[in-house]
Amino acid sequence: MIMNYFKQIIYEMKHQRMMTWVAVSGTALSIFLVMAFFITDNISSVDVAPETSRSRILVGEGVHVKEGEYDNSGMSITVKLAEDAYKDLDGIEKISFVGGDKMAEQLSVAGKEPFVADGMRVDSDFWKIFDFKFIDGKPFTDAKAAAAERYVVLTRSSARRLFNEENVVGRDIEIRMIPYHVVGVVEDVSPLLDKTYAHFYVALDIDKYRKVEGDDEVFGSVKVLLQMKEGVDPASIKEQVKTRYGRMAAKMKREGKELIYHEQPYTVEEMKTFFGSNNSPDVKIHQRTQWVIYAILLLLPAINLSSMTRSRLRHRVSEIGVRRAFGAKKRDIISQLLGENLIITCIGGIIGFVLCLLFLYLASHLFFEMSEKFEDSLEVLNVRPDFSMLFRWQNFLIAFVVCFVLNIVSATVPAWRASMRNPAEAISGAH
Amino acid sequence: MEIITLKDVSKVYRTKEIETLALENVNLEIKEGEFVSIMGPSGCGKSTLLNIIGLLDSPTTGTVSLLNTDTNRLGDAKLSVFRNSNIGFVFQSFHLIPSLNITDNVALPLTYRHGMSASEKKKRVEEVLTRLGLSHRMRHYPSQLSGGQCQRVAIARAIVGDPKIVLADEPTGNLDSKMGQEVMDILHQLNREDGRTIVMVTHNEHQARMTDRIIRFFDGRQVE
Repeated sequence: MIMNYFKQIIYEMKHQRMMTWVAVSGTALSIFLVMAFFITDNISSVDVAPETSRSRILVGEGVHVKEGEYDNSGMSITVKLAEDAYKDLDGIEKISFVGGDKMAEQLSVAGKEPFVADGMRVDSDFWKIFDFKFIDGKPFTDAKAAAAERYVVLTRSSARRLFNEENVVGRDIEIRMIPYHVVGVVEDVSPLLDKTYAHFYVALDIDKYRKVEGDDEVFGSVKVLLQMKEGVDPASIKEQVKTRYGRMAAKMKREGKELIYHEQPYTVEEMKTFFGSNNSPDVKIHQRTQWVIYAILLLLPAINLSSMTRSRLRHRVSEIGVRRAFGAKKRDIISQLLGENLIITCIGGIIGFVLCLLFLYLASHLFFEMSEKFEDSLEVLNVRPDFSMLFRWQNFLIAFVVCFVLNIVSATVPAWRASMRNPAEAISGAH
Repeated sequence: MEIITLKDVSKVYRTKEIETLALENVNLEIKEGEFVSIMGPSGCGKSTLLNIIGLLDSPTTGTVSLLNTDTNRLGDAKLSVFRNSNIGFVFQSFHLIPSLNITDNVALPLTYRHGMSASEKKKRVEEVLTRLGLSHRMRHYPSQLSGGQCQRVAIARAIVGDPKIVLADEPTGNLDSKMGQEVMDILHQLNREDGRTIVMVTHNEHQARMTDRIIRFFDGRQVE
């Protein structure tokens, strides 16, 4: 029986090419597009080295201050504000202060052409939160001393670019004409990992920052990365931060200023949404938008398959009548048509899967092209997003199963209508 | 013994605009093993009668009894089982399924029969195809056969489930006289050797005269 379903589909692919292939390609395209959305959405939330605990990471960054007609906001805060808001919170395992913005600086060594690369200022706890793979050397453990000594950690690609090799610990480079001492070399980080991506990492001395920042200032040069303990609810952290910001806001209110902290620290899910420094992230709207997109992408092939099934059945009216004449029950007809649509969905699924792999290859290449170049050069870094980072079997299965269910549901109506036909009329081919 | 009994059977087709009386108070008895021809001009209700006997359509009024079963009382699923077990159909345009090869076409009624092993079904299909001289065409598709061969396949399909009744709606209508005669010979053989009851709609007077009885229709009424 099942073999006959296959024979029927093969026959239709030959004899009703247009309709059958439209049905198959509609399903394939739908699964592919859903996967493409899944992939781009997952890039910012899946655990990938060195960001192997992204679901436990919270980010505290800029604030928003209103004073009369002035409305200021910024993505970085002062060390004092960062400590007041985020230090010693219950449920936090580790806290790291990092520079608020990525640095784009010129790297050079004697006898080589300088080039511009992205850098980060990080404290010593940064290396404890994230899972960097050191190819050579080790991270600095005392950021204050490291800053004083001008230590730098390079990525594999920047080390190669500078020295044509990777084992370069103990050698010196210049960053914006200032000498630095290489203490470690790490595996390249994908630019898709926004909390850790850089070509080099220098130490952040928060005491030095604290000194230059005024006590009453809120806009500074750092942001905070928090790693929650296992099983801690981000809401409990947010509640504590809310209380602290509440106190600070009350104090500023007396000075005629309104401090808005936009419900920080942000979770990975919140960071996915694009909200800016003077707005709060709205995960619900983001998710709702995504579900609407998924629903449209999955419903379209269902509607397509439904009308294609109806069209295909118009050519098979007498066949259905003959099957009924020879003993097929209504449910046999429905099973047959649903079985055939299952095969169409499976073929579409396989094509969608192949398209998805193709997209992964092209998309990763695209990300690569856009972000992984050193600014002054067409030379590309040896960084490609990991396959497991972009593709997840469970997402493919969800897309496939939902598509399958919708296709079956959409095919059920024409199949049921076909089964309800009077066999005598069906045999005569009456539409 | 009567195998087919129709009592006061009428069939009315209704649309929004018109009402057409296709059959009017038909009373008919056909004995087991009889070969009966139904004749009449086009549109007189012959095919409607055959559809009602074959349980493909239901009468507007009256009762249809086949093999002592009052079929009016059977629901759709039971009608399907009844057709599968007791009735075989041969159509003028063969109505073979183009996507299936000859073996699968002939096996069609057995796909809907429960309690029969796959090997039994295969054996049965092979026997029937051999009997009808089609064993060398088992892997062929309908499009690769002549009209006469297609009709032989259709007859094989009609008898593979060993039905007591075979209903043939103008089985030679699409064939030339030689092939038509071959098909008629097969039907007579099925009637004589297997004892199957055959009801055949035909326009061919010569073929009708070779059957046991001719029932004539005119304007939905049995006139002879």
